[in-house]
Amino acid sequence: MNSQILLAEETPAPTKNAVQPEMRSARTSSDERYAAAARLIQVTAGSFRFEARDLHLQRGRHTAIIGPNGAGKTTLIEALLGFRQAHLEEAQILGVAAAHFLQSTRHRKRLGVQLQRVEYEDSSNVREILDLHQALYGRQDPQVGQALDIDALRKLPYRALSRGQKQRLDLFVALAHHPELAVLDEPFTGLDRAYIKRVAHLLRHDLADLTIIMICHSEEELDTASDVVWVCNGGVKYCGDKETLKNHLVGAFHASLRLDDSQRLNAIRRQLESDSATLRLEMSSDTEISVYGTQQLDQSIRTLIANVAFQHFEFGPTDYRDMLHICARGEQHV
Amino acid sequence: MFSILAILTRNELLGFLRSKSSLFWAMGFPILLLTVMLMAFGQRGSLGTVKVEFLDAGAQESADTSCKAAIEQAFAGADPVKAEFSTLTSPATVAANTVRIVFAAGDGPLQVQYDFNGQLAVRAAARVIEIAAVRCSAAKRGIVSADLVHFEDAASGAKPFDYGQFFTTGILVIVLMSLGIMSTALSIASLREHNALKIYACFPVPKLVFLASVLLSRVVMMLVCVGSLLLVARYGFGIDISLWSIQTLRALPVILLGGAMLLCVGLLLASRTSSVKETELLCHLIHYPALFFGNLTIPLNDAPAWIKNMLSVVPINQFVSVLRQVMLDGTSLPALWLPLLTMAGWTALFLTAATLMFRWHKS
Repeated sequence: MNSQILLAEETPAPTKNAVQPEMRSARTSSDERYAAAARLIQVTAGSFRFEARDLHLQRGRHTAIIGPNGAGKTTLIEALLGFRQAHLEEAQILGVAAAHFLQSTRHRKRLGVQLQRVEYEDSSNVREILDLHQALYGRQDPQVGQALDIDALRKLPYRALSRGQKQRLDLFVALAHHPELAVLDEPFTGLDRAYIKRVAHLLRHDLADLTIIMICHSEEELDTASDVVWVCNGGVKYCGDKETLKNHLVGAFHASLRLDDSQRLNAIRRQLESDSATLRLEMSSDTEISVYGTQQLDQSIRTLIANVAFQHFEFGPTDYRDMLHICARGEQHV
Repeated sequence: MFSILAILTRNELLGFLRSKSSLFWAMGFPILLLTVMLMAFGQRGSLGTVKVEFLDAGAQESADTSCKAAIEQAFAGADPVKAEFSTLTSPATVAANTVRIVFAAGDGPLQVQYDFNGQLAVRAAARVIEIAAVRCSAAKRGIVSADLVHFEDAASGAKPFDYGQFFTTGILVIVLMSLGIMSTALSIASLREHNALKIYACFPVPKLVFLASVLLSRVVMMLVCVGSLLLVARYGFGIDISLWSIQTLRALPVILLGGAMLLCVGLLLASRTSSVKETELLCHLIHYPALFFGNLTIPLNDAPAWIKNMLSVVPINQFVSVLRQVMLDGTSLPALWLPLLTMAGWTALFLTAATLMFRWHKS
C-alpha cells in the first residue's frame, strides 16, 4: 500500500519577493492565468491557525474547496477576499494584489460572491435587491434568472423567503452578471433536488466558461468542479486536478468485504496490504474491510470472493463521492 | 454612481416605512412623550390646577361673600396656579388638591382650609386667596391696595419659561438622536452581524456611497419626523412655535447640522462593532445619559454651576441650546458662530473617525 500520496500538483515557481505596489501594473501574463494565487496565506485566530503555501487556482476552471468542517475552507476564501486579518504574501485575485482588489470598484465589478448566512434587512424586499444588482452591474443574464426562477421571488418581502429561496437570490446576485470570478460558499445548501439539478446544469453548461471557486460539501457540487483544493488540518493538502486527487486517494476500484471470522479477515487484510494494487485499506470493524486500489485490485478481489464465503461483499469502480468522503474525514484518515 | 446612491437611499427609506417599530420610535413615541410631558407639567410654567371650593352661603347664614368675585378674579391670569371653582352645599373632608373657602359671619376672619403640608400648587393657591381677600377687605375700608403696594415691571427681556416650547425642542433632539444614533448604528451592526456588509463590500459600490445612502435616507426621515412633531406641537397642542417664519427657516440649518452630527456619532459607534447587542450597549451608554443630562426634557436650571459648565461642551447639549436660541429666542445664526463652529468640528471629527475605522466585516 502506498504510505504517502502526492499532495502537490506542479505549479510554476512563484517569484521570490513579495510584489511591490508599484510593480503591480507590470504583472506578467502568467499572473493572469490564475483566478487566485498566493505564495503564503497565514491566519491566526485564537487557537486556530491556518497556513497555505504556493496556492494557485486556475482561471477558467471550476475549483472546489473541500475538507472537513473547521479545517479552514471559509478562512481561506475570507483571507483572500480580505474579510479576515491575515498575513498574505504575493496574494492576488485575477492578477490584482488581493489587498487592493476589493478596494477598487472597477475590480469588484469582475467579482460575484455568494456567502453562507447572509441576511439582508428584513424590511427590504427582493425587487429592491434585484434593482440594486441591475444598477451595479448593468447586466442580468435571463438564463440565470430562469434557472433560479428569480421572477417568482421578485415581489416577495425578504423576510418571507425560505432558506432555499434566499439561497437562490444569493446565487442570482453572485452569478447573473457573469463575473470573471465567482466565489460560492456551498452553493447547493438549502436548495431542493429540482433546483440542485438546475443550478448544477447552469454551472456545467451555461456558465461553464466562468471561473468559479466554491466551497463544497456535496457530491453534486463537486461534480460541477474540474479542480479541487483539499483543505485539511489548517492547511492546503492538495491543489490541482480533481481526477488526479481521486486517483491518489481512492484509485479506480473499491471493494467492501464482511466476514464474521475475524482471524480469517485479518489474514485477508494482510494479504491485501501487501498487494501493490492497494492504495488504501480500512477496517471499519472487526468483521469489515474497505479497500481502495487501482484497476488491478479487481482481479485480486474476484479471486478472494471465489475462495472465501463472505457474509457480504460489494465492489466496483470508485467515484467522487468516495473521494469527498475521504477528504471530509480529515488527514488522520489518510 | 448617482443612480446607485438613489437606489440605495430609496431602499433604506422603503425599509424604514415598512418597519412598524421604526415608525413608532421615530414618529409615534415623540408625540406620545410630548403629550405625557405636557399633561405632567402644563405649558406655561403653571404649577397646575387646584380646586377651589366655596362653602355655599346657605350653609353659612349671614356670611359676607362680597370678596368671592375678587378671589375668582385673582386666578384669572393663571399665574402661577390655575383654579377650578365650585360651590359646596355641605361641609366635607377637604381633598388633597383642594382649597376650601368659608366666608365669615360678621367680623370673623375668612377661613381658608387646605393641607398645610400638601401640594405646592395648593399652598400657592391659598396665598393667592389670602392676598385677594386682604385687598378686598382693604377696599371695603376705603384703602386702595395700589396706594400701599406698587408693582413695577422690571422686564429683563428674557422670555418666560414655557414647558411646551422646552419639551418640543428637547423631544425634537431626541427624535434626531433616535434616528441618527440608534437607527443608524443598529442598522449597520445588523447588516454586519448577518454578513450582508460582506456582500456590499464585494459590490462595485464605493464605501462612501454606501455610507452616504445610509446618512441621506436618515436625513430625509429626520426631516419628516421633525416636521410631524412640530405640526402636532403647534396645531395639536397649541404650543407657541412659529412654524412659518424666518425664525424657523434659520433653525433648519441648525437641525440639519445637529442631525448630521448625530448621524456621524451613529456611524462611529457602528464602525467596528461585531454584533447588534454590542452596538445596543454602546448606543444606550450615550442615549440614556443624554436623556437625563442633555437638558432635553429635564430642565437643569438648578444644577450646580460646575455641572452646567461641564455639560455645556457636550455636543448634544450644545445642539439643543443653539436650537432653542435660534428657534425660540430668535437669535441670529452669525451671533451663534462659535457654538455652530464647534458643532461642525464635532461632526467632522466623528465622520473622519467613522470613515477611518469603518469595517465591512466582523473581525
